[in-house]
Amino acid sequence: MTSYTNSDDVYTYIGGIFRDATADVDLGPKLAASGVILKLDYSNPDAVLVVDFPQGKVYVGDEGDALKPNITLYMTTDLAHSYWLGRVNAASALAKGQARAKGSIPKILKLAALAKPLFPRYEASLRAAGLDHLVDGADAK
Amino acid sequence: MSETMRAVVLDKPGRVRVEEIPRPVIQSPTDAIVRVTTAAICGSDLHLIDRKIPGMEEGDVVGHEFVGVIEDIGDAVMTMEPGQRVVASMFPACGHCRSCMRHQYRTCPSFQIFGSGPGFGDLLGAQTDFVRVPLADMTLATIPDRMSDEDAVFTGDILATAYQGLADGGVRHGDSVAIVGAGPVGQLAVMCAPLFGVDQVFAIDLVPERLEAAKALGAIPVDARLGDPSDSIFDQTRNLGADVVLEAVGNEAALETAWSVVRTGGTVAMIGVLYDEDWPVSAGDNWLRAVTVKPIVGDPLTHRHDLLRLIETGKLDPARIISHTMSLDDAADAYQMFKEHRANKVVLKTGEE
Repeated sequence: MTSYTNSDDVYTYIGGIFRDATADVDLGPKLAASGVILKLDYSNPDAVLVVDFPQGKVYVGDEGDALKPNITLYMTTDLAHSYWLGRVNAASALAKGQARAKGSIPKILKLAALAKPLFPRYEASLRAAGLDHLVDGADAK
Repeated sequence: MSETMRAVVLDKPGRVRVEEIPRPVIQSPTDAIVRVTTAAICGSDLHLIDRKIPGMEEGDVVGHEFVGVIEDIGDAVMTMEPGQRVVASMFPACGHCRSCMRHQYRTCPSFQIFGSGPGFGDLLGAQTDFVRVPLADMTLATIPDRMSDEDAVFTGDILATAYQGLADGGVRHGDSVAIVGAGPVGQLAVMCAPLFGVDQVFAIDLVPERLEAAKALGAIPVDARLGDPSDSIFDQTRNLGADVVLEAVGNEAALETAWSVVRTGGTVAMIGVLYDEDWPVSAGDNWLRAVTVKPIVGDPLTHRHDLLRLIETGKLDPARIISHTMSLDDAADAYQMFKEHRANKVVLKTGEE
């Protein structure tokens, strides 16, 4: 199944969870301390997010082209959506080739662990927008 | 008989010259003196002339890939005779110590590499007219009559190294193999890969001629000038990466590339010469990715008989990668051509037969 049908929704909801994360009083400083500039290169639909954790900024589309990410993750938008619903084992997805990573694996897994408390917020944001079908219809990966 | 002979020696950093040095003599009853007919220039010789390997000084004799005819033997040499045409392992080993019994010749107490300086036993090199060969019964192997010097010389180091990278890398049937560096040793690894039943073999390099040579041998070329090699490798391996990667250059950039293209749970075999390079990833990163690391000094003693047989039966054709056959007198030019990638593989002929 395809969770999103256009990149704007990806930027609104997946981009939104990153904006929440960087602004979070507890989580924001931890993410900033990671020093990570994370590029997420999604396919089907295509979407690109660059998250500058030290600066607490989220860029979408070509807005982040000038930044130099130190971690890049490639995956389908569907997989990213499932991840944020808490239905993807990040390490397993990398090992199985569902996602591809460039950069430090320990940092990627550390970020993945920090993200866990955000899963309910992501689901809530979708339900609040009336997108329950994206939650109830999503598969575990 | 002349008391001196020609030898290729280190000149200023980055260069060699040919000069007259004393002819070697038997020093131990297990020695042989070999009249060199053919000597090859190895990529690791470039590390030496560039002083990457400390301890090598101007005037030191280089060369560790050679074929010749036995001129003289010590009293304790049992299986070799003067007049036999032989290829030498790039390093001697005793054959009866604990390490040798385990086929771990690299850790034999008698380990020395020809022409590689004090860090490797200070054994004189073999790009010469004559060379002293310690532990001749182990170090030398006779060459089948119909086999050319040019084929046999590869079994002393570079072909054995390429083959061992695949063997010790644990290549299995159906694997994807990536070779970082499509120089001579990388090309020979491509040539050997079908013996291991690989599905696909990638050759990564920056030099178009080397990529073409690897392609002609069956590799999928990956031109690192055109983009990140990992994109190409992952795209062609169902997003998994290569099962086994051979790092066949010997520098930090190549190590970084190797770790970027290996799959989770894969193996990196380091067949390039390394000395003081940093790891490209942290220990934790490597552990999390479960990458097996195999540092490899090629082992001709273990593999040369198999390789000679594979050449004899037409399964391997290493001489095809030779681009230039030159006189030992022209070694300075030969090194320069090799260093500047104007030559693929150079063999030097002494004029002796």
